[in-house]
Amino acid sequence: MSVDQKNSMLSVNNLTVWRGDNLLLDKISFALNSGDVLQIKGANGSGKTTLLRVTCGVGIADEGEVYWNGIPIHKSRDQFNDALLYLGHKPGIKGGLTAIENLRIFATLSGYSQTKETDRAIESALDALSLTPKSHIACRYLSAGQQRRVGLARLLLRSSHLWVLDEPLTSLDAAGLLWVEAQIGKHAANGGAVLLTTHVPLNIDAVTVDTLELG
Amino acid sequence: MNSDKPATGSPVPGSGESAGVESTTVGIVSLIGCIVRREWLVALRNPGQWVNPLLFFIVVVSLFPLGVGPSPSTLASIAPGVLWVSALLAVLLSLGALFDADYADGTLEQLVLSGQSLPLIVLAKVLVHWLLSGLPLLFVSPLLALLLNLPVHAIPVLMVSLFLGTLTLSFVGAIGAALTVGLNQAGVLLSLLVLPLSVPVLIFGSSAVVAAASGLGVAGQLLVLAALLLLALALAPLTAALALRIGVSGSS
Repeated sequence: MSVDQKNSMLSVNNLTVWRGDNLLLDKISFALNSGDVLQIKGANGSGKTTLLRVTCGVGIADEGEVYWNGIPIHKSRDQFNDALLYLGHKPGIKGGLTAIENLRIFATLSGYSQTKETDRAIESALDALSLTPKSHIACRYLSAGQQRRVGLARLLLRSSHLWVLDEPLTSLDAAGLLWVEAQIGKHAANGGAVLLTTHVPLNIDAVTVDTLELG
Repeated sequence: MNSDKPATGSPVPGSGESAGVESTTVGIVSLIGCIVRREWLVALRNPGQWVNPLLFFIVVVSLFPLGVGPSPSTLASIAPGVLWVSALLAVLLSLGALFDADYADGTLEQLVLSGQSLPLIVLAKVLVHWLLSGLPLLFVSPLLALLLNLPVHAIPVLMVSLFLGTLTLSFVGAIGAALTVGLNQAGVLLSLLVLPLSVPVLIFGSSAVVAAASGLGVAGQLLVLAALLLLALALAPLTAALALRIGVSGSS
């Protein structure tokens, strides 16, 4: 993939990250445009999570730069954060709160006021992930797969161009896998871009999944 | 699970063309309200978070008469210092974990990346933390003051100085908590970072109570405490937010 930082939505240029004396990421470059889905592959410890974190701006690279619409992300943090939806390695939900409470916080943080409409959107997102019966139980009492689903419900609640998903399929069942694939396909078809790590081969209709091998 | 169910009713469908065009910043009031409610619910369902500092304060203060001896005059003379040092430690010890739970479950990353004002989020978190762990100290302090034979007329000053002081310490402690987020066993490091900054609060706080006990004016000390609070209120959220950004990026 050629890197054209001027004309790409997201371009990652020569990212290099050292972990102590270990060269973890060696001059990684890629670009993402509307409709692109890029899957990062690699063995455990090859730096997949680090690459995603640096791309989102929560990790620091020793060299290299990430550009959003041609501007380095540390200079366009507000625009970039608005356009970004990051689902990290950790579920990113409060165990003491219920699924609804967690998603309400997320909706407010995403810029939606606490209205009936937002609540309806949350309900339909929970419904789409078969979480409605569990929506009033504190998330720490849910199974790992259900917690992952609460995290994934955010895909329906925030309109972001760029999805960065770190192992979104961990502990999901077959139906969950299909749902995530469908969402990624729909997002790409609508002009969004997806950057994800997973070990599972993805099967998405009408979208070519590019892969980048680390390590 | 219905894989082809559209997200009907969603404020903005999946990834519309409008994404990124509209501003997604919420108002200050709804942002602070959201974080306050979040912290409040989390704390109420995890009572140790706010019961522990209170118990610590009560236990430490009530051990002093046993250790120093029950002589009323000795107790009265050490009372301001004992009350203030115990309150300071109670606040700082509980603050160490201010961001740790959010860090551990990944919600801190979400807050940092949400695009909302991180200093405001820090401000709301510190205020709730103070309401739950600093304010209760104020309410039990008159009782403990009587236990230590502090003159009754000094008690209002004790409460005012603790109000200003514990709030300031919460903000100062938040900087330390943000700097040490993600480090294991950061307790000692946190104390080293934060204690020097909290010394002025301790000095002026306890000297206000000493002056009140001897019937002297306390306006000077209380005004200095108020000034320190304003300084902390203005600068600590900004500093802690910067430290959090660095703290979150330091790990992976």
